[in-house]
Amino acid sequence: MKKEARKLLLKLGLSTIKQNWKQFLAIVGIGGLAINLFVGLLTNASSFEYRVHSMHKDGNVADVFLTLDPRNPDPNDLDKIQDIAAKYGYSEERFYTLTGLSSKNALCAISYSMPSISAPSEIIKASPKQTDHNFFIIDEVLCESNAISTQTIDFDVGKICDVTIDTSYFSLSEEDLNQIDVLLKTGAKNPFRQDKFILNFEITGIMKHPENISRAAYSPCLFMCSNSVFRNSLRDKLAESFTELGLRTIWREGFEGILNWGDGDPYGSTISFPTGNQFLMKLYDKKNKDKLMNELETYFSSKAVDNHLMLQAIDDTSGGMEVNQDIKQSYQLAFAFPLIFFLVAILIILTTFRQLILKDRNQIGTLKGLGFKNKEIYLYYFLLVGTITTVSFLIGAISGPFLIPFLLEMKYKILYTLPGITIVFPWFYAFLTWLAFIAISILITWYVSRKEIKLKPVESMRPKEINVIFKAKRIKKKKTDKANTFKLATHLAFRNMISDPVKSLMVLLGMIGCTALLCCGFGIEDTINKGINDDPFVHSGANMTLAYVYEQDNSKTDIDFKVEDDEGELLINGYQPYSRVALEINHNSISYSSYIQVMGEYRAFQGDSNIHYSMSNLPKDSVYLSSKVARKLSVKVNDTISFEYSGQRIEAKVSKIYDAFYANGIMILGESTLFSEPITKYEGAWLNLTNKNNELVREKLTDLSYVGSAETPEGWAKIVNDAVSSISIITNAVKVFALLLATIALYNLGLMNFNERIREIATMKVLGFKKKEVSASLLIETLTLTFVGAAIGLTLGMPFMVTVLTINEVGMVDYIYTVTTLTYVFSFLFTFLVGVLINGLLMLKIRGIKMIESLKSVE
Amino acid sequence: MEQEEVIIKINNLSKIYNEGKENEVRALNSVSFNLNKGEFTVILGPSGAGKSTLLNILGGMDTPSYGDFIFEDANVSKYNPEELTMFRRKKIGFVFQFYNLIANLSAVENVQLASALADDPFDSYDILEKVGLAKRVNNFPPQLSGGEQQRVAIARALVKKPQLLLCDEPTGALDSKTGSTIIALLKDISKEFNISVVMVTHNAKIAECAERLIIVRDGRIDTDTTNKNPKKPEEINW
Ligand SMILES: Nc1ncnc2c1ncn2[C@@H]1O[C@H](COP(=O)(O)OP(=O)(O)OP(=O)(O)O)[C@@H](O)[C@H]1O
Ligand SMILES: [Mg+2]
Repeated sequence: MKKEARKLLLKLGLSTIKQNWKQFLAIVGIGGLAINLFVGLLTNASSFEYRVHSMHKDGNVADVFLTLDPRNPDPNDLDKIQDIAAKYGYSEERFYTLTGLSSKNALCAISYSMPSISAPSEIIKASPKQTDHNFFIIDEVLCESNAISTQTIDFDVGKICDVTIDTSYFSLSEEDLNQIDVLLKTGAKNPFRQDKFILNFEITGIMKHPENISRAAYSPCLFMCSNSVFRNSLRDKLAESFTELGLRTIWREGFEGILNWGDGDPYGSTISFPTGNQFLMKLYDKKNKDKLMNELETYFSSKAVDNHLMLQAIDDTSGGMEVNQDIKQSYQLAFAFPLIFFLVAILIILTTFRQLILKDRNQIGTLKGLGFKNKEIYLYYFLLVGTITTVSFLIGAISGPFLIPFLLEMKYKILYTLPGITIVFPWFYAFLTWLAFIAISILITWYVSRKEIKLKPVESMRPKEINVIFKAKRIKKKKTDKANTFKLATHLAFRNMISDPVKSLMVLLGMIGCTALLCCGFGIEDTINKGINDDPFVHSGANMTLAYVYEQDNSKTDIDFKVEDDEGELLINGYQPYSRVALEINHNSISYSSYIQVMGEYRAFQGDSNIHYSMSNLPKDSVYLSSKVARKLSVKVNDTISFEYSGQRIEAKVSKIYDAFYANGIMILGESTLFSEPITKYEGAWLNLTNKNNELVREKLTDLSYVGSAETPEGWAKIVNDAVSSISIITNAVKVFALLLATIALYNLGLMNFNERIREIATMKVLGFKKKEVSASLLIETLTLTFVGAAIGLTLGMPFMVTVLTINEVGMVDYIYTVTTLTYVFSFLFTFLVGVLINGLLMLKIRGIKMIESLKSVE
Repeated sequence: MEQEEVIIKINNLSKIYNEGKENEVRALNSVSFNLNKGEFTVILGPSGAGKSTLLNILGGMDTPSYGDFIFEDANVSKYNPEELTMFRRKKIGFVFQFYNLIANLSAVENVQLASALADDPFDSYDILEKVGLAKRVNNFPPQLSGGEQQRVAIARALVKKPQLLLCDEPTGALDSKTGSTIIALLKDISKEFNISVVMVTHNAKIAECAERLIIVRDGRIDTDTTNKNPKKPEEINW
């Protein structure tokens, strides 16, 4: 091609862009949005993954966790376990148990010195006192109040906090206790005779810890304490009750060797605190994980008493599982939604270029007449579409990584503790996306232009032939009454639709997409709302849900939360105890991790003693199973499932399958005959409040030492909502895109339709049609398509939503798919309204049509 | 000859495009003439003379810059767009060089489209029969020949019983034989229904069959003659 020719084409391209800037802007806009979302979400996923991994790396988190029963130590374990671990890597011990930290559930990790495995990934703040052997470090999560923690105590370096110590860990027999009693100060009570006692610690540091990435309410937070700090605090505590001599006796005999397996023999003394009961193992080669775990399993199963509680790889811990699932989900997110928008962008490119090329027929003919080759004309259009898609790609790919990760950070901040955002730009995927975008748009351009470009120059300069697909009817001479404009307009509209099926299909697709997206967006909200509102747990009928601090014995009926107001009026009518514990449910050799919900009997403080919350019609000899678990295990009503609870292996008949959003798993009565002994210990309770002053109740309850948290149903709803927060963000994006889709598709296609009809409209104007009358046929056409499209879209809304929610499955909850009538009506009306509005706007253009100019030339 | 009834009075009519600007064009420059009812008038003139401009103003599709256009005592040049629409609807039939039929409406429907607007239209089938298309009423425009399409266009213009039928080079896209039948048709109609027909052409031969011949040149009326014995279209030698 000669230089001048190239210049000519460049000018032509620029003037084409200028003339059609609205359509090109639409392409750039919607394409840019799709790419923005795609690259943005990918960046988000990869940087999320990167942050999790860097946290794991910085803290050198253990690959495998082996936890032994602290009440059942075996001195032989240490060497054996270290030997096995040394084959594949190295290991460290720590004392590890669930305890209470200032009335919150927390995991305690006591080690001799600052560990090298599962160490803090970052020390945010530290007092000068803190050394490798002298530390008490809590997680930063505990220092801030957010949606999930109902924290009111302010933790900080230098502040004192309480740790509840379970006396059962000291494994003292009645005989032992009697021996110690003589060492007491006069009048002092033996602290070892209580269930628990409380130790005070000064916080020396605040950290981020790789085991604390997940902040979910159900996964307690780990704090780290050094052996010496623990001992000092214990000594101070015991000094309150024992004489100086007594303390020294206990100390020498019992505590010198805390956490020091080698030195002395803690097991020989009267009092001993369990030593390292958890082994943190690090592998040289991650592939050996299964081998290591198998060997450990074999070792414990070969023992007379299997004293191991848990053997988990990091990815199997509840926090690790949650994070991994979220990483997976964040990648899936990048592929689910942007794809739809990408399709929309392509639809718009298709329509725009089709229109452009029809408009350019003459120009194509002229160019050919001037001697341009077909190849060169193709190249011209390809460059045009390539430029536009590249511009839109650049806009999206640059803005996405700076927008989406920061938007989603709102969610991650609530759910996880992570290092600051690091943008990990997915170069490879971005490049592929660009290639795909360009390739597809060029393909489309080729597809829509090939017919026109292949024509002989003369042919392209002649008006385009219209396919007549209607056969001439045999003439029946009939006298017409006065002809009816509306009838004619309707005929015209329908024939226009049928005679250009491609265009009609595109309008239809746009409308189907819009309605389906709206339906999907609002349907997801419906589903979540239904889940929250109908969930047996959230919607138990109770006004408040209590969770106790770990292992509080609540078998007493007149438990201490008989809260009264200042006038001495009871604020609580009664309560129903419950427990919710994670477990494995088995059926036909398949097992699935879920929860068991144990329902206690309602205890009345006043009023009706027969109140039963949902699910309290549970039979005594069978269990209910949630539909999600039933689905996963393919359990039907009357099938038998098995599970272990409080040391009992239970086989139970499923008498009902219930729908639940959050309260998944098994529902069973505490007094069920399936338990060999009725359950008396519960983790929490549902309260029946008098509704006089619920805030006061909540305040008073959280002050109680054994109450971990008190949640209102709204609070629960919020917690559940947070668990599905990524979906909520997406839902809003879906709705915005639905709108954009409808607007752009309708406007673009409407404009195209309008431009093709200018001559027709001018003719009608000459005949004396008023604007209204001229609009009729155009409106009938687009509104019919909108109507049909919206109707089809409605039927797709539900399947679409199910797909989206399936891709974004959240382990904790089960969606009970619901789309309300209101959503259907709204989605339909909204699409239709957008259709009417945009067409109304287009109709304004009728006034602008100049009859003379429009009818002067051919086409 | 009996006293002819004047239907249109044109007084000092001017149309100036881009007035006051550098590219000012005086398409019509102070033109005056009257048209009688039922008369078959031909406007002849070289390209760019202002023929179409004049016709468009007569048809209520355009407004003059200066001067008056009186139609049956009403001053159309003072009409607003809505009144012009009603004027086109009630009084005018228009035939274009390029037919401008609506492709997705059949012949009869194209005609009905116009008849639907009129108070007392002809029957659409009758009028199609009149233009010789009784057998093609249900065909769609792309299925018809150029001449047939032009007949549909004429039928569409006539069905409203207009008082004025305006044709801008109706034979421009047709061969001479078809052209002459179209002109014959227009003449017949003019006589049968007592409709004034104004036809624009730059073909001097066609002008020979006009009762009234107005020659326009450079936006002015060059000559305005009445021909007592116009030729029959079929006699014209194209
Ligand atoms: N919209 C317009 N803007 C500016 N000038 C115009 C416009 N329409 C017509 N003209 C000019 O007015 C003059 C008369 O145009 P008109 O279309 O009436 O000519 P015509 O006699 O019909 O010619 P032809 O026989 O070629 O159709 C021409 O010089 C033309 O360039
Ligand atoms: Mg002309």
